[in-house]
Amino acid sequence: MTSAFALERDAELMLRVRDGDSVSFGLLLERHRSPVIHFLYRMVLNHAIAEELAQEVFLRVYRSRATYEPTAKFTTWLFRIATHLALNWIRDKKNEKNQEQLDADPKEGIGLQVADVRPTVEQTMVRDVRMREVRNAIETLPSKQRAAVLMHKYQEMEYSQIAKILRCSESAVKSLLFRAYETLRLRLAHLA
Amino acid sequence: MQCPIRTKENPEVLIEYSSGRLTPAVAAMFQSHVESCADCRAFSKAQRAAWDALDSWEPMPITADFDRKLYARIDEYEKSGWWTKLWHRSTWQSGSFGSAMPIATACVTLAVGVMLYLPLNNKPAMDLSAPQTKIESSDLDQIETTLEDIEMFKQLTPAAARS
Repeated sequence: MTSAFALERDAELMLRVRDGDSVSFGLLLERHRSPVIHFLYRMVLNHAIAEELAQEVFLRVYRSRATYEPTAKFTTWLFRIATHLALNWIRDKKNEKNQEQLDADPKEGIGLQVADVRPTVEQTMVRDVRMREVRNAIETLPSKQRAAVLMHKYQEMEYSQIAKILRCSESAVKSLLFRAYETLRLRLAHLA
Repeated sequence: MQCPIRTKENPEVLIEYSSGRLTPAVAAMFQSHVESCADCRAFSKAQRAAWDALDSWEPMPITADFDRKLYARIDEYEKSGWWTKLWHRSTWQSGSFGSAMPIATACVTLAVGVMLYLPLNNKPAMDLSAPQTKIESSDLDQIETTLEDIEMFKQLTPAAARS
């Protein structure tokens, strides 16, 4: 969750970027690269596309640096751009049933992330199945519900911030989340 | 405490409770209700299961050349036409997008004017393989991207930005 300090820090860095400090842009990138890419990955379910969209997000941040004013929370602005791009991508690809899933095999990622613990074959298989189930459950959610859940669950955002990002009321966010979690509870109940 | 399932009031409290995000005081109050309410207990159990399952979804590692690709795109932007940057500055500087539409209209009018003017003067049709045309094609992409940016930032209302 973004603390008051973090907000100040982001705004401060962005103001420095506005003044031409490229090092500060690098620091902002360092701070937000992973959350943005992971959010986009969970939205579009394709790692290559997620990274491409994330580059577009940071490029847009860079392009608008000259006019940046810290009137809104930096992460609200950042995730608004990310959500906008992701929702557009999903909309454009909605009818493409056979879109290429470049990272369909979850083993690839797990192997790199868990370096010091070597799970047994059985553990790996169980985890792969579990991850696939979660991924499929998320995929069935309408895109706005998906965005709301991902921001609530993984970015730990407040309802008010999600509402600003999705341009809707807080009550609409609560409703989106309630319906989304209802679907997830049904689809993931067997994993308990 | 009123049951959020029966009253259908503040049902989000169940989600927040199940995810451990309530303040300790509210959580303790709700805990005593859950102990006596079978519906809330079942809901909470199912929600926790879903929450735990979501925890198991690990993201993929980021590719090593992500930053390099990004900075290459930034360099490309920096080398783009001066008017592209002017466009961004003129439309975003004031935080108002009112000036964007007249500029867009002027650009479109100019483009249409040029297209209509050329055939009337029996100028040869544009050679799509010519280097100059390639530059214009690239500029059109930038216009498209810029218009998309403006559309997105238009949505960020001043009221939302201030809060």
